[in-house]
Amino acid sequence: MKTIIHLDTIEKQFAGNVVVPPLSLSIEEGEFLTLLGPSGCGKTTLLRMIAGFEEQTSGEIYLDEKLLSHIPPYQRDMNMVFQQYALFPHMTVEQNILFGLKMKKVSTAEQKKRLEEVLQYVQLTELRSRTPKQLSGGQQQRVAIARAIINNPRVLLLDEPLGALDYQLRKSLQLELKNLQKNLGITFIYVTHDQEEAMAMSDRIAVMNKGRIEQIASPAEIYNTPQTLFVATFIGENNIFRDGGTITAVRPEKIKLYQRGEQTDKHKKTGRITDVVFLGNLRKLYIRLDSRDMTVMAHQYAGDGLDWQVDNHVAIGWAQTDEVILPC
Amino acid sequence: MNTRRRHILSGYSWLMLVFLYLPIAILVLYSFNDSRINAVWSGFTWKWYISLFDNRQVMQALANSLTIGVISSILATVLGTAASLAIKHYSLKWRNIVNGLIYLPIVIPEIMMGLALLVLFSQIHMELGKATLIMAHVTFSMPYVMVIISGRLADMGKDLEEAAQDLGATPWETLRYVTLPLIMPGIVAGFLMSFTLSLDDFIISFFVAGPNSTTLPLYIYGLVKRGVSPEVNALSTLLIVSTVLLVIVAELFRRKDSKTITY
Repeated sequence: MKTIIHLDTIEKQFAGNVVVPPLSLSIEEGEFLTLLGPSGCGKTTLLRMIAGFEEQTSGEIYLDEKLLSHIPPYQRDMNMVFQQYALFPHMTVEQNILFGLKMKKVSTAEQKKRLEEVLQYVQLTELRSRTPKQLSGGQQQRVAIARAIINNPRVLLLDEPLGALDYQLRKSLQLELKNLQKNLGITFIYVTHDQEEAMAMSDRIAVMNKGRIEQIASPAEIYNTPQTLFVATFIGENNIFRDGGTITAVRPEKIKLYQRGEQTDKHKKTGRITDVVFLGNLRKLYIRLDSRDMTVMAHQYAGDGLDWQVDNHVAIGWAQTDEVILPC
Repeated sequence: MNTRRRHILSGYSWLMLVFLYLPIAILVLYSFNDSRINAVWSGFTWKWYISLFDNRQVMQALANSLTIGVISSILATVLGTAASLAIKHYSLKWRNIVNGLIYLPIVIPEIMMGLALLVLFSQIHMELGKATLIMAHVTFSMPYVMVIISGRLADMGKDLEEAAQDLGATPWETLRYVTLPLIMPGIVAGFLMSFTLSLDDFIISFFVAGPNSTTLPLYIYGLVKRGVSPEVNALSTLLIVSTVLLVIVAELFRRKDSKTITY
């Protein structure tokens, strides 16, 4: 795999406040990389530095091994899909999509050809002479994508592009975006605070917290073997057991429940079920431990034949391979 | 109950309209009055209008007003637009300071502005005339242009300009293809506002006008000193009508503008 973007110890300060402490990151050609983190974690600032809208306080950015620092955004061979789409309201769909090619003085024949291709690709052919105001949110989002990909950028930057859409539409567009990325082979750098979205689409996820990258790995690795306490708790649900100097994380679906006395695992903990939440395909059980002030979550999938009730006294355990030991 | 309340409300609205427009209506009405005395209606006539167009002094004042109006509002619009675009890039602190200084002339009493300008012009030995009027009019209309355009720029946000740059537009291309088309309604509105202010201004013009640069309001004031004549009514009616027409034209132009942008 070839590195397409390399961030070399870049740092960003705003008025003396460190927003992104020195950070290095290599992004591979053709990959779908997601910057995931809570709001204010520096993910958007990082994206804006790559796009050229913010200048890093120190450090360098490379695109295809060429130094990118101090090159203005309009000369960087990448395009961005904005959170609120930023479509030009005084132009039609067609004029919006053609804007980039016009600025690059591409020949009219070539413009026409690429316009037709892209319009078909994003299924906007019939809406080409509408203005953005006459489109639904999902359609506006397609225009924003079309306007970016018509330029065949080396890298596509996406800043929470699905954030403004409702849940159902977001779900279906996640798949569409992932397929688009696979078919075009363009490198995607995707910013989101929605972990489900990150899981569903990414080749790699960089989990960010307070400007730092806590872990960068495939979705499965992030989920199964989190390297820090932040990643373990931010991604999905987790039970965190602190025993002396060690922190152990066990996913709720890995917790096994037993009748008292039946338990065979090495971890002997007992407790009382305080709540049972039915969610269709699974039930979430909350178990108050007897030995300490802690509530453990356990997921029980439908059809396992067990019918736990509130106030049942139970023992819990888990396989050693299902636990993750975290640094303090 | 509901209908009665609606009747009272609509009655109140009509009363407000009468309150606002009655003085103007009377002025317009008497401009068509055959009698020289304002208080008595003695029949319909166009003769005061006809005599206006035969009056060389009126025509000269009109020409002065139009020349000064057009030149000063073009200058105020260009300078005000450029200043608004520049201020947008300042840091918040400086933007607030500069904005405050620019909007101050709006609240300074006009008579002070007029006096200050007169003192300035005589200090630098500038002869009072059209040039001083134009400069004075630019001074008081530019803040209005900037208020309108800064508002539009703020509404626009920075996303659209960033999107243009992201798609390969240089700062100049961004200004030409994105920023200017989007603030164009504001620019047109600013121009018409300046023109209307210039056409209407009396106090500041009174201080800085020379003997050969009498504008319409100054001329009307001169006439009134000798009593309100039907000619004054006719002239005022024409001023009102043209102002109303200007606003309508501006509105039509503004609506058309946002839909048909070509490049």
